[in-house]
Amino acid sequence: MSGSEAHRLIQSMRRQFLLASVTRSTLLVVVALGFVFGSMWRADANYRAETMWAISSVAAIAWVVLTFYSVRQVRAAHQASAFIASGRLDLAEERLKRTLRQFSLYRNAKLLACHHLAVVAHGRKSYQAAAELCDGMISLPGGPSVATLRTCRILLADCRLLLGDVVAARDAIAPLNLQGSELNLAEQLLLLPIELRCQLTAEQYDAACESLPWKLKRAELLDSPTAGLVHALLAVAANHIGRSRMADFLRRRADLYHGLEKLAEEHDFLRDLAPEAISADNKGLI
Amino acid sequence: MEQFDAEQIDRRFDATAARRDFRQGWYALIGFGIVLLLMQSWGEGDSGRPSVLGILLSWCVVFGLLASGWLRAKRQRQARQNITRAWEQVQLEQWAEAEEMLDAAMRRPIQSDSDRGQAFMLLATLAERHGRYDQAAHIYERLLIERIGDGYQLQQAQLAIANAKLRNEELTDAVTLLNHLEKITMPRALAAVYALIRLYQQVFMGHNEDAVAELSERRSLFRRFLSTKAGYAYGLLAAALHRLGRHDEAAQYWLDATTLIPAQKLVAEYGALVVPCECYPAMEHPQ
Repeated sequence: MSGSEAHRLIQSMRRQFLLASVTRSTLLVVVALGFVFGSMWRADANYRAETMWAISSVAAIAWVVLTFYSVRQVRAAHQASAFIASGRLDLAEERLKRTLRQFSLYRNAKLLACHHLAVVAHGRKSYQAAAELCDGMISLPGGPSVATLRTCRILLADCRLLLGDVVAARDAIAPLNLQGSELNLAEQLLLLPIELRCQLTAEQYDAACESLPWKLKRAELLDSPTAGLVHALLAVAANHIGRSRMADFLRRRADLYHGLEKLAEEHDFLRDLAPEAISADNKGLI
Repeated sequence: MEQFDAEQIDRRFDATAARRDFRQGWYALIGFGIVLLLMQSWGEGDSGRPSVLGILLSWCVVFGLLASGWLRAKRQRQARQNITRAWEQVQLEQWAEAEEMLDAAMRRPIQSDSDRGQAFMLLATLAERHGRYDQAAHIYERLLIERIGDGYQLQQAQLAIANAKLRNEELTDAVTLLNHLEKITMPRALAAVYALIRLYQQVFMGHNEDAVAELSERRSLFRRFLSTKAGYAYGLLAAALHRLGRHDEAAQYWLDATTLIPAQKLVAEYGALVVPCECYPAMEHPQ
């Protein structure tokens, strides 16, 4: 998926949100008017009261039908997340795009689908598209829930970093506080490597080394490549502020998690890390 | 610990079982019927207008049903939140808080099978933490027999039961189960967990040659999928290498193990690691 396609999807989502608001308001007004006038008017030869009740009932039924239709879209979004979990990103993308193009009376189904689509785009290395989708969701008036918004910001920052736009990445995560109580553990684990990369790019080495035991505790819970990356970033920061013993320890750990050479290959900014042979992996013991 | 008695655990299974006979669909259907009945009974007054009482009662029933559904959904959200928090506390090794959260989550029925599976997996982890491997095995057994949880959780439970039996020194059962699991295709992350349990069994039973066989492949698997917990595997390999007289390699593995996990934590987890701990220098963790 390209960035322009993602942009078009966001534009279409904005239009559909407007249409959904108008539809909801119209149905609500019709039901309310039918209820009020149907109750007030006497039954007569003109069938005015009956007509009002009938119109009101049709509007209520239309609301119920559209609600069921929206629930189906939520289900489709959940099914797409199952595709994501099983690695079938192509199927997930197709399903989510279809969901986004369909009409929904409620915002939640579309926001969920859009969020999943951003995750899929990120997974398929379409960082520009993922960034467009996240940006679009963040800027939507009355957009996603607070929790989804936080994930969007983290995802957007990661995409911006991968696209080389450090300033935009920092802006995206500026409202988030890594050690704040509002972030859950999963969000902290997502944010930690991104915030460290932003801090190192901005040469804020002291800030990167702040609350080191807290950061290390979280880094230990990450998967091996990310744990290696976080340790390597912390090693660079510790080295810059003169904590060479700590830097050496962190470098050893980074090497054990993922291998320094591999890390340097995958992340240009780690090329300066000394690829010392430290662990048994590199000492030819096996 | 009272909460890790078999009776208490069974009570928790009963308390969290979803009441499937009261599904929301039935509520809606019954509610719709009542609304129709009320509208027919009170729908036409003497004046030719629908009675206000009839209309009000019909809407009260509708709102009552909606409120009941909303309350159920809210309770489920709360239970899920407590389970997630308990999981977070377990990850951070804050055991008392984890027990508290889990206790709160397991007081009411848990509708989602996957949430219920996760809650009991966490309870089993806490039981293991208290050294109650027998009760942990009991939990895993019930999860497997009643098929509570998703496919991945059930595979995790199979592995965990083998580990619990091994820790409980039910060696025949444990080895039979491990041999059975060896034939099952599983995701590589779980294959790494299996390899760690198998390694422990081999070290525990003194099969040191087997423990260090295919060392390179095993190490790669541990490194890629166990993250920090690979430290336990390196420690066990150090123990096996030490017994085989391959002291240089054992020293290096012990250094790697203690770089990832402090020595005292390694020894607390696996008694077999006392020997390498005494024989080889550990990595010092700078403050």
